[in-house]
Amino acid sequence: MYLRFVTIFSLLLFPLLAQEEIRVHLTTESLLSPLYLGTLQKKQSSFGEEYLQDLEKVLKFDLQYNGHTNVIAKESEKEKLLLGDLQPMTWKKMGVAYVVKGIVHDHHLTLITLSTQTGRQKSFKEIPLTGEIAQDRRQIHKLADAINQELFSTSNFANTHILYCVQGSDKFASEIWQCDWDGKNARQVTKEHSYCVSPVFLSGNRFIYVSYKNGQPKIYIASLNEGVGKRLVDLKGNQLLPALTPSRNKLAFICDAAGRTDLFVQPFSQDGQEMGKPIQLFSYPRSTQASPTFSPDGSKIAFVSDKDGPPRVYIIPVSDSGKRAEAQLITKQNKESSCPAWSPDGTKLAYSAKTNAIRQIWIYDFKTGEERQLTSGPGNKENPCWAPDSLHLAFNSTDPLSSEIYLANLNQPEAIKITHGPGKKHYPTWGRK
Amino acid sequence: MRSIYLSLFIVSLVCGISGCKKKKNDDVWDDNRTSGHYKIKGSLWGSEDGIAASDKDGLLSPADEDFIPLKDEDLKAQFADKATPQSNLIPGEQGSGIPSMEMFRAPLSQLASIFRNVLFNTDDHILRGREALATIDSIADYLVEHPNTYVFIEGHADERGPEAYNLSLGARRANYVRTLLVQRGVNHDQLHTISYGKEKPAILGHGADAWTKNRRAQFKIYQK
Repeated sequence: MYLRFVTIFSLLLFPLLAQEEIRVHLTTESLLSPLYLGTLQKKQSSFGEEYLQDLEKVLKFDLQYNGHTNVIAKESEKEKLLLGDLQPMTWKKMGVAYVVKGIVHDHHLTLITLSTQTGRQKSFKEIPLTGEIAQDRRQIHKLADAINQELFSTSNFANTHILYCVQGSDKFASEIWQCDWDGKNARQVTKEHSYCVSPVFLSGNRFIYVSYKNGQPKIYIASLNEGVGKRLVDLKGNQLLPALTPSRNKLAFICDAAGRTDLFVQPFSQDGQEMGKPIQLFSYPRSTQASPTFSPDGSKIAFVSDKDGPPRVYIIPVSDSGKRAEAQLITKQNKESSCPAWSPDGTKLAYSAKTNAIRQIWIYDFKTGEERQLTSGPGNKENPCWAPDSLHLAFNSTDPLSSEIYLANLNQPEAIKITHGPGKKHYPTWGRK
Repeated sequence: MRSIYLSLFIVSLVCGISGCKKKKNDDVWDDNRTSGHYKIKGSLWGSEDGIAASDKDGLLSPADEDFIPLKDEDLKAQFADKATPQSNLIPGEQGSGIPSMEMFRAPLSQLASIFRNVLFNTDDHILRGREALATIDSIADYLVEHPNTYVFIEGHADERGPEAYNLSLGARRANYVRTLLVQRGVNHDQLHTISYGKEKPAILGHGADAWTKNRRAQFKIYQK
């Protein structure tokens, strides 16, 4: 009797439990190879231990989150091995795939890497050290890029920087800030005492962004040094959410010049001059367009539209034919998708989608046509942007109390918070140095 | 001799009048072509027998536009979708006669009862319900009677949507309200839009009541 009751009760309860237990498959298998980073060895150097430890922390972050290696814990036995020549077989037997050995001699740092699979050893050109960690961390990021290039043939990502917006909590004001890829060396770029959002790197030290400083939101261009913007596009109404082609010959943005929130494209010459009038690229009756992003060759745009119901991501070709192109729906798996970002290698699209009531970062693969959830956990994750290596992503994660910038990569979906301090941080964008 | 002078005077007068008339027609044509993109039969943009209104190519002519427009059929009927072009006067710009946005204020006392917020459904840019449309009617009546009153229509969203998308949605809501006012006879040069997305909530809170009140169009006014 008792057994029958439990069975019936379980059967009745099952649908409720099943509803609570909707799960999405996430990649859990480790794609990372174990790397041993030895303690920096000091030879005839006057630098203090604390400074050397700080240097090591910078290098460890770069190697820990490069998307290829997992920095394993230190052991005295392995430290002793580092004092002599690096023997590939010895390290391989210990389960180590890569070894990084650093020597600080006088005012210089030399790094040596070993791949235990191939037996290849590489000694990198020594870098000068000043003793100031804020300055020297950039040299370490350069070295980390060189290591990743040597071991994994990846594009540079550590010696890059991120622009993002910091919004004060007390009033409608948001300024653009800049930081290294690990969130350090953060500094305020714009001082417009206005609401500045959605920055995009242009080239060198210039960037494009939207500012409300003259009332309606308009697109401006500024340099990282001066941080004071000049109007870029001469068009009436609200101008929002700019995006650039990698070759910087086209600017896409959202504008209500025609009375709707339409997708526009402004062509530019090589020297940055406007070429002709902005082109109304996509408009649709009774719909809202948002968040354009270009394919790397500039021939297509992914953007958000609610033309068929809730907002989702579509793709259209860039054309000046005067006819609206047929929009191809990309994000079919999720009912509400936003803020797409096309990867620099053109193979993927990152976007934010409501997943079990929380916005998570999803990846659409152009080769397979499949979508997969990258992030998980609390906090609405929005505004993803790609690093130049098409492996790393930055995005903002928001809860009722805070909004911070996080990093993740396709092999390490566990997000790492890189910003701190007061204010709501959002709209990250990634650029080269 | 007098008759010759008189004849010459009459001929030159006729030529002059016809010349003026021709010039006027050209101006009308140019004006219609400029605004033709937005003109359809029965719109507030001109008489329904206007030249551009009967010329499909002229409807979307990019010749005098700020941008090169799409030429799709469903977009030609801009008013069917309640879309209107932006004001030709840019607030704060020299010669516009309108100050910059910080001079626009929240309406006080009696005006506050006219320029009331209008509310939208979730992820919607269309006003539904008699109360909202009655508010629009009152605002339109006031603005028609007071052509020296200028309005910034603010489009807002609640906290739940994606922040980037909400910036677009706010602009869409503000433009929808602007078009309703133009359809009720308000001069479009009196109206300007601005989107704040979800960044300026009217009510701080995370519940249904706050969301309802934050999905709104709000008005700031300036009176010459």
